[in-house]
Amino acid sequence: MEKGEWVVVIGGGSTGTGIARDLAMRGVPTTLIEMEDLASGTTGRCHGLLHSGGRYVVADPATARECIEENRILRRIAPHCIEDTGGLFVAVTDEDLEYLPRFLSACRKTGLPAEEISVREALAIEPHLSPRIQAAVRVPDASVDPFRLAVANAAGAREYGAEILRHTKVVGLVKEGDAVAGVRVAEEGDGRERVIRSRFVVNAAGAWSGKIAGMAGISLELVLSKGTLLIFNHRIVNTVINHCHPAGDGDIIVPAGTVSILGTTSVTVPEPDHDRYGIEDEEIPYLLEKGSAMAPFVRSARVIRAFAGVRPLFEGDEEGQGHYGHGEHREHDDRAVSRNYVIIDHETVHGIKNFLTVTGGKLTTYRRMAEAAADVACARLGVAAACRTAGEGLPGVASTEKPRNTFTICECEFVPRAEIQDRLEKLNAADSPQPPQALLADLRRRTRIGMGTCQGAYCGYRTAGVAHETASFSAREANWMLAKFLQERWKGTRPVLWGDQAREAALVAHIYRGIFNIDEKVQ
Amino acid sequence: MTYDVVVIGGGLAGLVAANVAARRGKGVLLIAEGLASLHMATGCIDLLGYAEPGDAMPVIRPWEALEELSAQAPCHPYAKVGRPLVAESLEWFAGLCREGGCPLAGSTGGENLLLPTGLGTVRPTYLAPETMISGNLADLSGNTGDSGDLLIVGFEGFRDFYPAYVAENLNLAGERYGAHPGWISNWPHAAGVQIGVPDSTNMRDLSAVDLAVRFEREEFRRKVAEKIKEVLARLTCGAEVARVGFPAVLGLEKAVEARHDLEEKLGLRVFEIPILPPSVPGLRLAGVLEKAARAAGVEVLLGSPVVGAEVENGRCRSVTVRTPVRENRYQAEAFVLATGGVLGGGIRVDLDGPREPIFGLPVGHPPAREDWSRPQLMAPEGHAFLRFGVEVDGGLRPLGRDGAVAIENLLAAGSLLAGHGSCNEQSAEGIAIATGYAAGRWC
Repeated sequence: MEKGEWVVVIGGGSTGTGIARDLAMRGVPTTLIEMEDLASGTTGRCHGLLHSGGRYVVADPATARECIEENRILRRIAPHCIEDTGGLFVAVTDEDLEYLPRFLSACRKTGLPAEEISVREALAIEPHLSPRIQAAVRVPDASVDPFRLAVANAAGAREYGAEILRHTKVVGLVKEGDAVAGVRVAEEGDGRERVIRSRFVVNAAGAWSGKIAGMAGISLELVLSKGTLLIFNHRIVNTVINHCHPAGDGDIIVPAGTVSILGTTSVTVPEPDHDRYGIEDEEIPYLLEKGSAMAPFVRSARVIRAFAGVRPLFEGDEEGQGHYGHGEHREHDDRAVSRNYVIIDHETVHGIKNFLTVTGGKLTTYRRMAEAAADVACARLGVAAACRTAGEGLPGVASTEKPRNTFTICECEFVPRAEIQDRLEKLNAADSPQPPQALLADLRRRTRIGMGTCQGAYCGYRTAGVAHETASFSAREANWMLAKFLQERWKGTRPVLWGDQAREAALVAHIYRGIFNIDEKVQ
Repeated sequence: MTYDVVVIGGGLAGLVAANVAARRGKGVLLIAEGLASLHMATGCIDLLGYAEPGDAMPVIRPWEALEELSAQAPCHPYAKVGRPLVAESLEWFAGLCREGGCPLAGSTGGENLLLPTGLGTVRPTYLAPETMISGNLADLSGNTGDSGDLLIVGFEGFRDFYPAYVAENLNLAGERYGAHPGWISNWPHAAGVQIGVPDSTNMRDLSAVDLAVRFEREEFRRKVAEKIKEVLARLTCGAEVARVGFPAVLGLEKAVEARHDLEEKLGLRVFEIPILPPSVPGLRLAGVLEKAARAAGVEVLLGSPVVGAEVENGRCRSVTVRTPVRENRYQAEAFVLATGGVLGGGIRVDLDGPREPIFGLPVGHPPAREDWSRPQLMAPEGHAFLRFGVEVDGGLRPLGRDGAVAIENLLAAGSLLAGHGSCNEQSAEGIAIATGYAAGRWC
């Protein structure tokens, strides 16, 4: 059987890569298509929080139960993507204290291990917590690297024979009568279009899934919710900190590698393209205000970047939509729309065969979403094989680190040159050609270059140099990738242009405009 | 403790002001919080590289452009100081560098030089350390300048210089500049090679300073020269190579000697190329200026920030310096504030706006934070936050909110000043030297 002849999965986020791996492990020839890079959409634009379920336990216990179950599975199959930081729910106000018994009792009912600890102990664990906190509960939250997770899933899918096409955009669906028979794609570089035929198409395009469904004439009731997050230059906390109250804005701080992330907001937006939405000036003080209730230190900590992702939330609840969600729906409030996922078998719901959409959901439950979506696809394809993703570790789990060339290219995130070269080779050997202008951004998701304090001031130049030296990119291409990379980093620095980060931005301008004399007409 | 003059800031402007004031017989204290911004600079003295923001081509004759700029923008520091004093200050500065063993070179006709960078782009500058001059690609009057093809040499394991990348970009730059009148028409060909670092067995990261220390040793230079000769023998187009470009690491203090020695050993001209910070040529300049200041009697207080000032009836009486153990006050008749712009730390940017932290001088800025910068990093017009600065009168005295002189015995100099866009103009050193010189004279 020819590759890609059975299932095309649209979307290279955690869900899409998870589905591709799940299907490939069941022996289903699969092609994954991602318009940009793996985890470049909503997957890579979140806290990177592996939920214990505590956040949902009161309002949506079914989602909370799924979170804790998946939390345990992912710790087994993807320990290399997870840092077991643990999490704390902290009660600050009297209202929080009133919420606390409901929270603890819901945790008990759901089977979520939650242990109340003394305020003194909490402050000993996290000295930056507000001295005014009144109670603290320990839960098994953790920090997960969403980039690594998606890349590992894609690598796992490839090991089982799947084809992963990045920088390839679905521009249309191939329809035969009332059935979907494949996709029409365009490559990022030259926009050349071609058709990939398949027996089944899985729409896992996340915030873009409404657009994909629209190509089949289907209208999906998606609520697109923009969430803005702030990154601090180091680990202001070593534990995931949650505000112990009904889920709200700016009430989670997650330690992520060398930095920490505070978020989010939740604002309904009309379009999925995150690049379309800037960070509003007033969002920053708002988030700092919210975060400072838990940890007043955030006000004086150094913010190095602001970024936003667009979550796809599913609102439709008509019978027969195959809606797996357990959440209650409220109008006008994104926070009340279920965070659970939905699988829509379009044959049942819309009379369109060989096509399903999976949307909603969250990073923590990506594997379960993938399993459920693959189950539906396999049933339609007559494949009897069962899901095995809960039992088999993701690639990289057992690898022992090779001795490395120790030259450090990125001093903020400690990325050695050997790792960059290794990743360059892998990107160049990928199924789809690597567009040079995206190379540094794609390397960033895999290595964390440029994600630390200096935001690419030093490693941008060095990585462009290494790419030119070792990966046969021309100087023109290296210049181009450097300019794109710096611009992309600038996009996140610009909204937080104060304090030491303003100085850092001045250093970037000084190096690239002042010393290297780059202008907007980079060759 | 009482002085005639307290200079706050150990960057180029502060060092110049302290030197000038001390040579006028003043008792000077120089207070510097950290490493000066010279450590992040190229080591070149830019006067005016671009006349208008977004100009595609650099200024060829900077003095003419400076006069035009001064006429159009009376708030520009060059307009405040005036061309004659700018010229005098640069001449004085060049003399100081020559005496200090770090001679500067430029064109005799007053044109800008065009020097390669560590990215392989080229940038205009007015005066360059003599060790860089053979890299010049501008067509200069009065002398023919250097000519001949370039061999760009880098070092294995040195992460801040990629010779093949530099060479290829230099060849690309020829497409832009080589066809343009004013710049040389016989643009040279460049090739890049990487050589191993002699006697380097340990594989740790090499910094520019590590290499500079090694280049002070004759034996190291001999081995480098041998490796380059081997490369030249293999190079097919090697016959044309007349100049060898290195990253700017040819010695911490004895770079002039190191370069001459390498030229003799290779039988070719040798030049340095400015790279990412920390800048070895900048370190050399800072060293020369600090040594000269101490020789002229300047007391230097390093590593401690000025945290406040005592101002009474419009005069500054003293400034307070925080040391690890206590706060000290230093009184003086006059004060020179040369703490730098946003990059140097002289202007702090808060969420609600920029401020000058020592004297609380007003700093003009657009009200909305989104207007502090442009959406494109490389926007031709540059970013407002890089131009945040302190307004001064014709005597470099900072103005208060009412537009009158704020503190009569306080002068400001360098990047701290409002009215310039040195990052895009390529004028930072010229402004620092001219205003530092004027402040040293007028305080």
